[in-house]
Amino acid sequence: MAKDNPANKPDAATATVPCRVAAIVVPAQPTTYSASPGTIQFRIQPGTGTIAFDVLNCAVRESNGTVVPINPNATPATLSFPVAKGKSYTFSAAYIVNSNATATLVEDCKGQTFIDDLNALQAAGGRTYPIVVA
Amino acid sequence: MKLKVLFTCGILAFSAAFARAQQQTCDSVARGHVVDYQKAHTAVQANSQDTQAAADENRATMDLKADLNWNGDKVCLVGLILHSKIGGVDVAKQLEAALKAAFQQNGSSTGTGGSTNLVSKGATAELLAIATNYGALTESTSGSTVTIQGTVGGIPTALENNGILPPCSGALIKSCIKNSTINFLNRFSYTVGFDTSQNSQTVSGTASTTSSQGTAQPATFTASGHKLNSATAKVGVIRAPMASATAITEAITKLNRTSPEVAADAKALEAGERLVIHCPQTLINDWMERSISTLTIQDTRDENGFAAAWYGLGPSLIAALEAEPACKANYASDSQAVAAALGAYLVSLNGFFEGLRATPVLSVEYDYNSPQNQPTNSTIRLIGQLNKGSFTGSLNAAGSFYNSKPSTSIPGATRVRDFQIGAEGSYGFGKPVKNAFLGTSTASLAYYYQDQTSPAILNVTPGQPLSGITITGLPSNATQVYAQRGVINVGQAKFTWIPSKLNINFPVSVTWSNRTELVTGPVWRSQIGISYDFDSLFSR
Repeated sequence: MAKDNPANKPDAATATVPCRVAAIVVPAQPTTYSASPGTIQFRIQPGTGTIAFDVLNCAVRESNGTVVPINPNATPATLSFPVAKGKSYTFSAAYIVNSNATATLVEDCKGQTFIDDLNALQAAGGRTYPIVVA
Repeated sequence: MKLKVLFTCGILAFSAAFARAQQQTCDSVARGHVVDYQKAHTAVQANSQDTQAAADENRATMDLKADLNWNGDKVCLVGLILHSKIGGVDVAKQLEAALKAAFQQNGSSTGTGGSTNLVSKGATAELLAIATNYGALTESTSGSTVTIQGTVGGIPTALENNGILPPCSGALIKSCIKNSTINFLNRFSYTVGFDTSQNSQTVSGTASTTSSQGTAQPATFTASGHKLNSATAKVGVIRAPMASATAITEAITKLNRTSPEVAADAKALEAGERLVIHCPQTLINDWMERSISTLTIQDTRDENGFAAAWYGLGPSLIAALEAEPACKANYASDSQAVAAALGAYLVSLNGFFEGLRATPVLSVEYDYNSPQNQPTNSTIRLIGQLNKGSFTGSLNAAGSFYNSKPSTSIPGATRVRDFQIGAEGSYGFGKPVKNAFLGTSTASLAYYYQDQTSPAILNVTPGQPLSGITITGLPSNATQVYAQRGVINVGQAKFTWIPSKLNINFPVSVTWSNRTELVTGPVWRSQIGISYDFDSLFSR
């Protein structure tokens, strides 16, 4: 399954891009993410089965509700969007999953920053990632 | 009544929230994260300089947090809420009530004479009517023939899509239909063709007496109904494997906003957003932290004990939600709405992935044919198919039988009508070429062999001409005519031009046969057609 999936292979171009996102884990708070300004690209690293972005239902919003456009070249495996200094964003990810699939959401950059473990059971309901840009 | 049904369906459908598969359940996923956490935590305790262990502990903590907050796992939290809320409700009875209500709501179909007749014919027809109303069947009309086709699994799928039947949850509901069951039922497909041109019966009259010489004669009338043209039942014995990851990715890329999967996902996400608006994350932050503390001290080797600990989190979650009046007023109905929408989404996803499978490798088909003016016959066919890249090869072998013994006055006529073998090779240009002019065009060559062991028989009614056939010199008392039996060879070359972006098909074919069932001379035919997909106008 994972063998012939192009999403298995890190993009040659982005593999050298410095990472922008880091997780902030504090007690009694859901995990949030800090980021540096620029374009953030997320990628689904396949495990078993299929978990893919439902790109048409993915959304990025600023804290004031303004919709941030997702790169129109988004694919089922990767998508990117710009973030600006001093702003907060919510990335609402929607997924297409098949039974028992697993995958990892990473930032597509040099080092492949871990963002989230995905499984079919939980990803079906969508996931939300709050991002604060320093 | 309707509200009750919705409530019932909401509770029943929440099982979908757990129903990714039997192997993945909320408690088992959380247990896996606790295993990771405990292992990493122990390593960190043993060596605080172990950076890898610290990173693993951090990742496991993120996973556990995601299991227990709205940003991460709405599915399992909704499951916890509904699990705690339904308590001792008899789910099987609720399912029965939901089904009953659904069947009662199903009105008679309107439309063609054929479909009206379906509704009036008892249980099977009722099932077909329900299936049509809920989208389990596809109905097409060509000329005067209405064809209904579908798969056996289509009926429960349609009921699930409409929230009438719940998808399965191994955790709580036994009275449910698993995706694996639906996928098995989908191996069985059927096609039924009705001739609607003969809604009015053909009535034949025979004079009751020949002795009377008056201008008015008594007569006896008999009616001849002819509604069912053909029926086919097919079983996929060997299914094709799941589509490759590349094919799945390609199919996902082609989804648009009108695709059922995308639309169903949008509804599920909307339902989830409503729940979070009424019950913000801040209400459950403390509960999340307490729950992590509870779970991380569990013995993960005891699966049942861990599951009990997981579901034991439900009451305290509800207590946290009920602390806020706006949330208290809405969380139960919001949770049911999330579960119902997720159920529909999961069913549509199952259909999406199963639909990407290629045609079955080996199928067995039974055809019941009732051709106009011919005795009814049955055909049993074995269909093999091989897909190799852009090439598709098909091989058929079949035997055809008259359903009743032919008249002994027809020389050589037996119950065995004929044997058939057919082979076809087709090549799809879409995959390797990817050129706008050729698009997804296909070219194919086919050969068909039929050994008519019995002659073709036509039923005739004295005094009534056959449609499209003129027979001269027929005695007035003849009821059947038959043709010369023999071997039929048919060859066909076909090219279907399907240019990209035009949504138009142009099939062109040339067919040769050494004879037909009725005509013993060779026949050349060429066909050209055009079809336009009007759905494409509305899918952008």
